[in-house]
Amino acid sequence: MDHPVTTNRISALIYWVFPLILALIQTGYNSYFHILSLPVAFFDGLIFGIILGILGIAVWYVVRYNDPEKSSSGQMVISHIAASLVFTGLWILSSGILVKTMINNSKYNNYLYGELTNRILAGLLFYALVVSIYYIYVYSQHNREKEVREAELQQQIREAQLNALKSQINPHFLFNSLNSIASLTLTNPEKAHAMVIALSDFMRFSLRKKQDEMVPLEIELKNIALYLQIEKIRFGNNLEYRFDIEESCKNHLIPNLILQPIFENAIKYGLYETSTPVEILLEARKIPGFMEICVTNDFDPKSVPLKGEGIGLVNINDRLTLVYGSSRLLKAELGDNHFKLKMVIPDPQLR
Amino acid sequence: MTNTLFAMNRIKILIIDDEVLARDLLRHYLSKDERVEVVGECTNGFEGVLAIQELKPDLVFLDIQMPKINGFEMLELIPDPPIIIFSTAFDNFAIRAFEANAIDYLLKPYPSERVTVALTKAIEYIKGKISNPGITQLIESHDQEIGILNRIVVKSGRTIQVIPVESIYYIESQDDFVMIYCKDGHFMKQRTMKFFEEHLNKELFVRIHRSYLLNLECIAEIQQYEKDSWLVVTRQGAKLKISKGGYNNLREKLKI
Repeated sequence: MDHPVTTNRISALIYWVFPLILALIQTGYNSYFHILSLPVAFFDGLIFGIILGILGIAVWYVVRYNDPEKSSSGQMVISHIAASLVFTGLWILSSGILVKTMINNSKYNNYLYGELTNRILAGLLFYALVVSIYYIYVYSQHNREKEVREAELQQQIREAQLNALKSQINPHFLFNSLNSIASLTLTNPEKAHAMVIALSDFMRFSLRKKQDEMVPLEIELKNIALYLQIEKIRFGNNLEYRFDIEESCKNHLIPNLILQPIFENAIKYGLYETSTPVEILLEARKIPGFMEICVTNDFDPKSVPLKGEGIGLVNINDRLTLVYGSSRLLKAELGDNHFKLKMVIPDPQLR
Repeated sequence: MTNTLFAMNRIKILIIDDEVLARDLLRHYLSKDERVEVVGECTNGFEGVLAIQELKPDLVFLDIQMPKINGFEMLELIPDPPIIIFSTAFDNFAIRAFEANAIDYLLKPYPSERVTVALTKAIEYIKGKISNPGITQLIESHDQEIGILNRIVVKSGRTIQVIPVESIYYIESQDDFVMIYCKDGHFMKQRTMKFFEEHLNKELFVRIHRSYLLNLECIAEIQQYEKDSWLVVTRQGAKLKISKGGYNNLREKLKI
C-alpha cells in the first residue's frame, strides 16, 4: 500500500492544512495575549507546526507495521503507546532545540517549560488524530482490494460455469456419426462424402466459438442445420425439421450453441425412443423487449426413457441465467404427443 | 450340388439394430461369408422377440442401444435365447462383462475382420467346441450397472409392454418368477424379488412380506386382523399380508 500523503498531491495539501492551522492558532494565541512577541510566537508556531507535520508523515510506517489484519490488538495498543511517546518526545525536543538555538531568548525558555504539559497533550492528540486517519485509509484500501478480488473471483466462477455449461460436442453424437460414416463408405460413398463434410463444418463451428460469445440467430441456425443434416443421414426419413423465423429475428444475438442441446434433446427423447417419423419445428418471433424462440418436437407419450430426464435443459436454463441474470427465460410444455420448449431472449440493450 | 448342401448347413443369422446404416454395413460384411446366411433384420426389440421365436436363428447380432426397449431388456423376454453377439457404440457398459460372458461383442465401428473373428467363435460354440458362455451371468452383471429402474419390460402372449415403474401397484413373488400388478393388468416376469427390491426406488417401494413388494402410494388402509397380524388394503381393493419385519419397514417409511 502506498503512502497516502507523499504519493498524492491533493491529499498532501489537505494533510499539511492540519499542522499549519495548529501553528497559526498557537501563534495567534501567544501574540494576542502578549505571552510572546509576534516574531517569536510566529517562529515558535512555524517550527513546531512543520516538525509536527514531518513526524506525522513518518507515523504512517508505524500504522503499516501494525496492520489490523495481521497484528493482534494487544500488540497494536502497545506499539502505538510507545510510538506516540517517542513521537511527542521527538517533536518537542527537536522543535524546542531548533527554536531555542535560532532565537536564544531566556523568556522563551521559561515559556516553553511552562507550556510543556500542553505541548505533550497536543502531541499525543495529534498522533491519535493522524493514526485514526491512517487507519480509516488502510481499512478503505483493504475493502477496495477485497471488492476487486471478489469481483475477479466472481468473474472467474462465471467463466468456469459457462465453460461447464456450454454444450460440448456430445461424444455419443461423434461416435454415432463415425459409425454412420464407416457404413456409408462401403455402401454409399457419396453420402459418406457429404456426411464427412457436414461433420467437419459442424465441428469447426462448434470448436471455434469462445464461451461467452454471442452470435446472430441466423448463424446459430446454420450450425443447427448442419447438425440435423448429419442426424438425418442416420435416421433418413424419420427426421424432418423446419425453421420458421421472422425477418427481424435473424440478426438477434443469442449465446452461442444455446440451441444445440435443445435439438439434441428433441432427437434423444423424440427420435431415439420411437420408430415413427419425428418433426422438429423452430419458430422465432419478436415480442416487446424479447425474441421468442419455440422448439417443438413430436414424441411418443407411451415411451419411458431408460434413465431420468437429461440435465440438458437444466444446463440451458443455468446458462441463460448466467448471461441474462434471470432464471425465468426457459419454459417447457408437455403436450399429448409433442414437447414444446419456449425460450425468450432479451433484446440486446436489456442485457 | 456341393454348394446347395453347404448352403443347407449355413448358420442362420438375425440382425437386430435400429439404425439402417448399421444393418447395411453388417449385411455387407456377412454377405461375403459363405458359412452364414442372414435370415432376417429387425429395427427394434419388439420385432426382435417375435423374429427370434419365428425364425429360430442360430446366431443374433444384437445392438444394445435401441428405442423403447434396449438389447438387454429384449433378452429378458426370451426364455431360451440363441447365441448373441452384441454390438454397441459406447463402451460405458462393462466391457468386462462381455469379455467374460458373451461369445463376443463388437464395438462400433468395427472392421470386417472383427466380424469374421466373432463368427468363427460363434461357429465353434455351435459345433460344441467351446464352453457355454453365460447369458445369465451377463444379464446379472448388467443388473449391477443399471441402478434404479425407470421401466420394466414385460410380455404376455405376443404383446410386449413397457411399464413405467410408477404404475406398478405391487409385486408378488411366486416360485421362481414374480407377478407384477399394475395399471394395465398383471404380468409375469422371470426375475427374483431381490432384484426388484434392489432396483426399484426405495422411497416408493417397500417390502411388506416375503411375498410382497408394495408401492406406498397404493395403500388405502392398514388393518389389524389379529394380535400382531396386519394387512394392507390397496386402493384397488387387494388385501396383502404384512409380516412382522414388513410392518416395521412400513412404519419406518410412513413415519408412524
